[in-house]
Parts: sequence; structure tokens; C-alpha cells
Amino acid sequence: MTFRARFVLAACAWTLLTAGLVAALPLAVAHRLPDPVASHWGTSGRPDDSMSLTAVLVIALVLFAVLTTPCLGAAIHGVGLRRRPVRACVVAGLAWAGTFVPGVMALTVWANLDVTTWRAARPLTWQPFALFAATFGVGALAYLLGRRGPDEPVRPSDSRRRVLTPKPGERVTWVSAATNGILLGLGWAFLTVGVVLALVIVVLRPSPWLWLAAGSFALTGIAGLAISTIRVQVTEAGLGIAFGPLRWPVRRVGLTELDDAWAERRMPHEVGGWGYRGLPGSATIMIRGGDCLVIRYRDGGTLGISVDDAERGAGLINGLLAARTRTS
Amino acid sequence: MLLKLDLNDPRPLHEQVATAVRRSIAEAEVRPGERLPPARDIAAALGVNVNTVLRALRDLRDEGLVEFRRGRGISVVRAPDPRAVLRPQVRDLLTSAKRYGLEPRDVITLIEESS
Repeated sequence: MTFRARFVLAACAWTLLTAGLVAALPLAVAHRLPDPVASHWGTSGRPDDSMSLTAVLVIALVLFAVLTTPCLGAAIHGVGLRRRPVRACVVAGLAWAGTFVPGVMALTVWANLDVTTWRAARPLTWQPFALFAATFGVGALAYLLGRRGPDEPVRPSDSRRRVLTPKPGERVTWVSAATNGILLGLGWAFLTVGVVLALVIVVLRPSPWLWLAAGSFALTGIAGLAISTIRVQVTEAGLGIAFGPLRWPVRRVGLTELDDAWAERRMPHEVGGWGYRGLPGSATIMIRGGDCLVIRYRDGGTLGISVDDAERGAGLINGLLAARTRTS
Repeated sequence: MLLKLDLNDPRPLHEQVATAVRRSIAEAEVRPGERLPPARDIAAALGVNVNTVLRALRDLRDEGLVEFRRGRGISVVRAPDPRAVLRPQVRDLLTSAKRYGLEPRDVITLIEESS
């Protein structure tokens, strides 16, 4: 069995086991709990809010799924496991989520055990802090454990690498763009709704809470636009990545920071969606599925950028890097 | 799209940009039907004014290589005549020949000898 298969198996087993614990804890002693149960404690330590047991269980399981799914996704995707920082984060995330969520559930059950109504639940003062500290400790230990083992620079076998060296007396630049029409349309639509709502609020002065809706629409629209289109350029100075229809902000990576470049195919479902995906050191800027320019930094981290004609861009980076080593 | 500029080219900048884009199309980096990167992106990459790039692209449109479509950007219509691509290189050759005191006629003889 490969390392990846064992890792995925262990991660899934751990996730199922801890999820089972979250569900089993309240169900096992359901007959000794009040209904509803105390679900929130104020700063004084007294319970101040309640929920039905089912709601508590559903919220805990959803929280657990939200915390563990990205970790499991990264483990199953597999490429990142060979990179030390990614592997350490996945292990730490699973360990923390697998202790924190059952811990919260255990505290809730303990506080509510054998009381007649939720208002009589035991006060919680130092216990939540102890839980935070203990589970973060477990996470930190798991992070150190995950760091053990090799840190391989990743370049998949289907990647395309070439070298385009500029001739003397010639200035070569590479420029390309990628646009996601659907995201672009959605971005403009959300922004328009936000602006129209804001105008309506200014004119009609309904509930001030509507500002929240207008703001959310506008922000979502702006965020969508920022990742709907991109321009990537390679010059003697290095790599420039400009986001959004305004081509701002621009991220620049100097040639001196780079080590290698190649092109490969990446799809949104492989990297976890659109936008900036993954952890620094193994991230992808995903505009649309398909051709991606992948750069490797001198420190071993990689960055993928979905852009058309990536192979030539990578070739020019390699050519400029080679020319630089020759002259220096 | 790769854009190659000759650092010793004495011609106006917009002609150099047009030559660079024409070469990219000729070498099938951008095929007929595909879109060029927006003019302002080309301008930013080359570090020139966007109007210079637009002037170059208008020259290419007049040659029938690209077309401007509202809202759809600039797309390639057809690959250029190989003669149009070779012309700047021939001009370079003739300029160098002149420096050595050779007439175009001598260059033709030279080409026939070497081919």
C-alpha cells in the first residue's frame, strides 16, 4: 500500500471515529438530558441560551464536516501530501477538529447531564479555555508529527516544460490572459444589485439593516470580479499577475525568487474551487479549468496560475533564469 | 503570446509592436479565430503606451490580420503572408549590406549562391 493510500485510510478512519464520537456522546445519555439543552453560556458562566438536542447535534456535525472536508480533500488529492507544509497542516487540522468538536460536545453534555431544565445547567467558566488550550496543543503536536518525512518538489509527469532563451539584442516578453465569463457576469450582477440597493436605501430610507444586504452584494460582486479575469506577464523583471477587470491589484514575483516553471492542467475540482486556493507554498489561482502556469520558488513552494498559453510563459521564465545563471 | 522586440530596431515603436504581434500570429501562437490579449495588457507587458499598441493593432487590422469586435476584443482573422513577416528581416539584411557597400543586386546574388 502506498503512503498516500495509508494516509487517506488513516485520515478517513480518524474522521469517522471522531464524527461517531460527536454523535454518540449526546445520544447515549439523551434520556438524562433536559429538552431543550443549554447551548450557550454568558460571560458570567451561567447558561443564557438553549437549543433542541437535535439542533445541537446537527450544528456540531456540520461544523465538523466544514473543518475536516478540506483536509480530507487535500489528502485524497494527494499531490500536496508530498509537500511538508501541506502534510503538516492537513494532519494538524484533522487532529484539532477531531478533538475540538467532540470536546465541545462533551462539555455541553456534561453541563446538561441530570438537570431538570436548561437554566439549571452547570456553569462553564474555565473549562472552554482549557478545551481550547488542550486541543490547540494536540493540533501543534500533530503539526510537528506531520512535518516528519520528506519534502519533495512536486512536478507531475504530465507537465510540459521547455526553455525559450531570448537572443542577444532582443527583448522578449510574454503576456497572456484568462477570463471566466460566468464569474465576470455574476460579479457585475452582484455589484449592480448592491449599488441599486444602496440607491434605494438613500432615496426611500427603509430599515438601515438593508445596508448590510447592499454591502454584502457589493462585496461579493467585487470579490467575484477580482477572480473573474487575470493578466499574467513575464518580463526581464519577473512575473506580474494582475487581477480583475481593472488589472489591479498586481502581484509581482521577481526573477530572483524563482527556480523553475512549467505548464500543467488543473481543474477547479482538483484545487477546491475558484479564486486563490490552497495554502501558500502550494496554492493555485484558479480562474478557469485547464492550462496552468506553475512556478516553483527557490524555497520549494509552488504557485499555479490558470492562464492561456502557459507553456510559452513557463518557457520564457526558464530561458530568462538560464540566461541569468550564465551571466552571473 | 510571446512578443519579441529588437533593441536596435530604429523604426517607430508602433511598427515594432506590429512586427512583434505579426510574428506571433505567423508562428501560430495565436491562431485564426482566437483572441489576442487586450491592448492594455500588451502595453503593460511591453512597458509602452496603450495608444502605441492600438496604433499597431489598427495597422494589423488594415492588413486584414485581426478584427476589432465590440465587447469581444481583438481576434485573429488569418495568418499573415510570409512575405510580410520576412520583410523586416530582409530590410535588416539590406541595411547591413549597405554598410558593407553591397547593392541589393549583390545581395540577391549572395542569396542565390547560399541557397
